[in-house]
Amino acid sequence: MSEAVRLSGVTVRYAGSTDEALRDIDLTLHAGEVMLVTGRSGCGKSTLMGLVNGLVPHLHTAEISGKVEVHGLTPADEELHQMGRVVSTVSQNPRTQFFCADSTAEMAFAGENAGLEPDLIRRQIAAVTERLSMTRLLGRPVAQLSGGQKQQVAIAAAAVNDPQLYVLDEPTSNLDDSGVEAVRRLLGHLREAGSTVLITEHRLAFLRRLVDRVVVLDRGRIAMDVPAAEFFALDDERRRELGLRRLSEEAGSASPAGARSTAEQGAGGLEVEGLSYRYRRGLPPALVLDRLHVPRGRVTVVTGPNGAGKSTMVRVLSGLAQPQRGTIRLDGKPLDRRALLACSHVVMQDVNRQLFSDTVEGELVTGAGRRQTEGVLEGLGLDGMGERHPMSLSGGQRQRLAVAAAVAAEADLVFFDEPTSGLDHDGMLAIAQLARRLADDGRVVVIVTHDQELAAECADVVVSVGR
Amino acid sequence: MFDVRSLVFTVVTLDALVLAALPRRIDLLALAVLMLLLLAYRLWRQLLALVALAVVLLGAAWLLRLGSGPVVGALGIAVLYLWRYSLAGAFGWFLITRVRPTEFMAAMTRMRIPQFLAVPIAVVLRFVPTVLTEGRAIIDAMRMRGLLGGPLSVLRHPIRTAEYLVIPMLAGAVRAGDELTASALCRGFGSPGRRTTIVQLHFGVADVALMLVTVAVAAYGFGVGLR
Repeated sequence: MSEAVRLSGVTVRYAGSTDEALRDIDLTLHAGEVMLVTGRSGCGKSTLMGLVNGLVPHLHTAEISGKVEVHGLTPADEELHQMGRVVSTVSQNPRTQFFCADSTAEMAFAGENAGLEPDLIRRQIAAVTERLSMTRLLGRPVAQLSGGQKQQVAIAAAAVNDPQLYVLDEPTSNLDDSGVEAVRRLLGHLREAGSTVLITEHRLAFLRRLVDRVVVLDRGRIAMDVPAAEFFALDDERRRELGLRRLSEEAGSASPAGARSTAEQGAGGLEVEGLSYRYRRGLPPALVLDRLHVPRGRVTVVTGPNGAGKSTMVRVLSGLAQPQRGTIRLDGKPLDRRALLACSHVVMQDVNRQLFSDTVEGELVTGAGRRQTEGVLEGLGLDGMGERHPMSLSGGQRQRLAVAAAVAAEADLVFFDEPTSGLDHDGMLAIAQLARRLADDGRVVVIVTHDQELAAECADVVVSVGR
Repeated sequence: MFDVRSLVFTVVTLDALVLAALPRRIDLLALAVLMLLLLAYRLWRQLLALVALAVVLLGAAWLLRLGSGPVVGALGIAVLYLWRYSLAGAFGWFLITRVRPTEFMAAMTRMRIPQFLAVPIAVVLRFVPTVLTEGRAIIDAMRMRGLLGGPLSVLRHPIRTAEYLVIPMLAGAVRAGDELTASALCRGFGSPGRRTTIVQLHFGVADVALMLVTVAVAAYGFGVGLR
């Protein structure tokens, strides 16, 4: 078997950083193999992908020692567009990897840039979409596609390029179950066609039977390099030690074990009746809630497919959007939108959008109203960081800072919007514990997520929205 | 609707005329053309905003002309300048929000426009919706913190509002830009060598008409055909 990728003694250090992102890596990927690379957040997975497609060092400047070979080429010595003819990359965020507003144009983009004949590009698009049975996604406005459909288009665009090697960097981290299923199906097609694939993921269960080999990275080193069968047979203890998400769908059932019946749910909390919300007159309602009770002191998990109105629900229940019909009561008292907004706090999927101050301490006192900052940072594991700039914190710390701002503002209702997309096992557990603590304080806590593992970990009440 | 090429031609020509110090009321003709474009694209709200802007600024300029004295005169000139820049901006906004990067690149490829000119503009076109989404989310976050009470609070604390809005927006744009750059470069965007396109553009009768109107406005601006 010929070698698609060969790394020997590779060490990578980013410019301006003292730590090595990867240390002394020896790795071979054979042509026709599907290899999964996984490990904790920050273990060096993305750096490894960047080495192969050339983004490291071309876009992310780094010092590389050792030898990197991709189909006989050294990515650091080639131009990025030359590497792009050999390696097709699909990245995790469907929102920022598209250049075109139309799905067919997106699939043609790489070929057009390479100066291929338009007719050849059209034939390739037709052949690939036929083979992957996704002709119904041709010619669609990208803005109207779901996250899962966008990732399918991205994978098809990669296939139209007919590369020697596919690099998929956490392709499912923003997707719901049906999106993951679609990616799984396409990956199966690629594998059957004998393609060489390098994929990183935190979600592992869906890749069982789709990969040949698994590499686990730990702080920049290879902790494990084994055949897939051996990896998926790991016991739970070893898996947690490596900081990995669960390996099968069955372990820890999808329906929450801790869910309590309505009778036990305790009094108080948020009660919703006859609610409907539409973006504009003439459009069908984006959200309809006939009855909903979100109890105080419990963690309520809201699940449902992409586009079912989960995010709209958060906007309406937190007072960011005004519903056209319906009442919302808190502990029996009806609240209007303003009153609701004053007592709620949403921890957004991208927390960077809600950090405004230049210090952690300042973040707690920014905003209107009374603030209770005593001991808040300490309680959230941010002690001693009061003077730091929020953007110098890690992703997990920033999430906790957003929660700290909610606690300081004495928010009674705390909403989490997809808090664990792209997070490893430890990150997911940390969110679960945070939610639990907020609920134990007697707040109303709502988590909107399609992360079944998170739901199983912390849900007291589960609400399904949509189909 | 219209072809990218005729739109770019019209907007660039009329913007130059509006901003140039020509002795004629070229701005009124340009306003009429923009109103027709907004009508053709059924952008009712934008049309209304444009009319309101024209009434307020031109009305103010007219009222100021009734008065006398150096201060009033200077104010009148300032308002007229503001009007011309606003109109030029409105043209630009129309083009940026209506033209999609794919069609723009296709047109530029057809016309053999060098990549160093076309690529940055295409990136800007691609970036507008991303920045808008980012801005909306940040405004939500500001409302949640009570940093933004309503339109009045923007007027009362313009600098504070701008600071809270602009800094996270720039940070978000840089982040999104990094990812977009990575994706575009890996797929050979901006690489040397000739680009092709599978997009078929249609240059129709409407485009010819639009360009003729533009040429006519330009001719009037330079005084051709008038004595």
